[in-house]
Amino acid sequence: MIAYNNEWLYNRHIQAQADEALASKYIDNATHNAVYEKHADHFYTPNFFVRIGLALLTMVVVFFVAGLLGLIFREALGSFAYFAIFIGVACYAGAEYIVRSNLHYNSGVDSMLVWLAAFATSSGVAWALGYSPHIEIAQAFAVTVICLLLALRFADTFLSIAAAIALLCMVFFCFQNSGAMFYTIMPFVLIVVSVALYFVAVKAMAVQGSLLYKQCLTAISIVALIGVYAAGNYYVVNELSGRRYSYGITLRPSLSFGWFFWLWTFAVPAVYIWLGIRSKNIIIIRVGLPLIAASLFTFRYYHHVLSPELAMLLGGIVLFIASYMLIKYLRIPHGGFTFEPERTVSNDPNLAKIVTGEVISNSGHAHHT
Amino acid sequence: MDTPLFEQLHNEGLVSAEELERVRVHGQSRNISVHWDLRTLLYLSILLLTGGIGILLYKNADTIGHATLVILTGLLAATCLAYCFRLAKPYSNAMVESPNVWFDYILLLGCLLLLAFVGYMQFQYHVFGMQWGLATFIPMLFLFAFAYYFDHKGVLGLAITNLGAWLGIAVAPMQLIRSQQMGNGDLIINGIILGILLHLFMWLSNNFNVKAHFATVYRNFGVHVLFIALIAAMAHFDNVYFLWFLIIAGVAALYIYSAIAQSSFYYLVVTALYGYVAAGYLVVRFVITLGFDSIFPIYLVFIYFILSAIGLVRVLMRYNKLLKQNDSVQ
Repeated sequence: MIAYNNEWLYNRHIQAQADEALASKYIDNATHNAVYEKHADHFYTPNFFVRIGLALLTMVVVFFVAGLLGLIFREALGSFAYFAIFIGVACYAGAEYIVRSNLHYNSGVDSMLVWLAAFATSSGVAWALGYSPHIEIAQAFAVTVICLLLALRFADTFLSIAAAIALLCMVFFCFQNSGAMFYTIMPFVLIVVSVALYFVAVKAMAVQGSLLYKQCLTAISIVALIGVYAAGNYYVVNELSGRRYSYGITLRPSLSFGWFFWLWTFAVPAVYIWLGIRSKNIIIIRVGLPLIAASLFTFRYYHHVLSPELAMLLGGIVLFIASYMLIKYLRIPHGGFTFEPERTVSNDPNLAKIVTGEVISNSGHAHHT
Repeated sequence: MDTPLFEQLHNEGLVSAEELERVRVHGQSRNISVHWDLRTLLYLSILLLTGGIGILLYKNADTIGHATLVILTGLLAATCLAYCFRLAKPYSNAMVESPNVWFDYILLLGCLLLLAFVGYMQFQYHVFGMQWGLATFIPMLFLFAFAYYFDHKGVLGLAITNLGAWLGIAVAPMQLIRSQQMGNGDLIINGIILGILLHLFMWLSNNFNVKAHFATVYRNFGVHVLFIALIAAMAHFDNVYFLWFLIIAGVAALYIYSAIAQSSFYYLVVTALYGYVAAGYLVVRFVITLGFDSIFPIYLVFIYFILSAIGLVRVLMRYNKLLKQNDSVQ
């Protein structure tokens, strides 16, 4: 299913685990190198900065090729939509080719081609569908399917996020414009869908053989967590629902279940952080912390309790004291958390040298990062 | 950690029984590090504090009274800096570790408050009179001194930004008085001077081994300022644009040479991309002189960008390989 060599992808996972074990001094250098040699891969993944350069240049090539073709065939071109779909399919073919024959993996070239393929095909299909009432449901559905298929084929994290967002948008569009009754239940439907999406992603992660999609599934679970919060956030609900345009006048009936959404706005971040601490899941905590800020902004939008500068000052003081206390408290590990910096191969200069140096001289093929 | 994987590796004879045991015992019960999370929160709190104080000063000057606010800001800045002076380890030309986690943040707070204090003094009381250059020069000196004394790269970044502001302010108003108009040209020349100055500082830090780790900060600011200023110069001073292109090509060649010598992927890519932009400008500029009688020149531009980008991709891939081999030699 995945375009890249699956065995090598798995070997990349083994190598990462060996790095982690080496950084924590569970295994020694000799073992680490033996693992690298036995479980080698021949992917082409250049240095991080080179990858950014290659991605930008790939984008330049695709844009100018598309521009040139558009210019040459400007008379013959019937519609923008089919041209965009053609470019998208060409990008996809290019990605398949570069992965198969040049063994690229996250080299910047393959990722950019896949993203451009998704972007061009999605906009082409959306354009081709034209404009008619409720067409945005079909458009969102098309984007979801295109992103999902490409994400499955290339195990691409970015497109997984795009697919998850497009899916939530589709659900939203289904309930938009379908009567007052649906307005009231829409937030609840979105919450249920987001929760379901989260559990699907988490359950899929536990399935044997989903290892190569671990990053994609983690990304989807983060989108779902944010979705659960946003679907019930007072500001979001108030802005998205109950808005009626008639003869240029915005009518806004008062929000039903307002108290529920206020409760949701403040309870969800707290629950996330509590769950994260209890289950030692740093991802949920990292999602929860910015959501506290989002809740405070939501509250301040409706109730001007403090002037912005005083709020900033107060927030700064509270945050400073809180982080000061936490750092002091976690000097000695408590409840599975510690202030000790994580030991990784890359932030330990001695280990980094050993890893890169040894791997290249030992394995004889310079395709590792 | 993936314990079943290590069991498999043990069965393959790669991981010893003792190592597997270590993974089993410690790998499962590892503490999660929240080091960078808490540091980010601390940094955010400093930003909120200084931002809040800044707006407070701006808004409430007439109700609370200027004098009170200025004294309060000055006192706060002095307190922060006094704390840093009390805790700081003695100065050394080498890298100095901060005495504790909060030290760096308190110093940053102190420096930002100092800037607010000096800016306020000048704005309200005109301590430096009409010498706006002096009003940026004095805080710059302090920032450089603190950056070196306390060994703080963030404060050094503030100092460099201040240096840029001082160069801009010190030169531009003179021009303004003289010619009644401020051209972009002066700003561009200032940028080039700043870029060269930063490279000089980089060289001095490395050569005399005074805070050699600051050289990377100077170089990082310097490379972007210099290339952006040079490309802007090429566009602005249109009558001698080819001369500027030659200068850019020379600087880029020097940079690529040193990037390869030091195995620096970052400077290789940055230089290649700036050079690519400059070359693209040159080609488009040349095609414009051909005129637009036919569509053919536009085709040429498109074909140029396609071929050159593919070419640069190949070059970057080649150098990536080359730098990696250098890595293993070291």
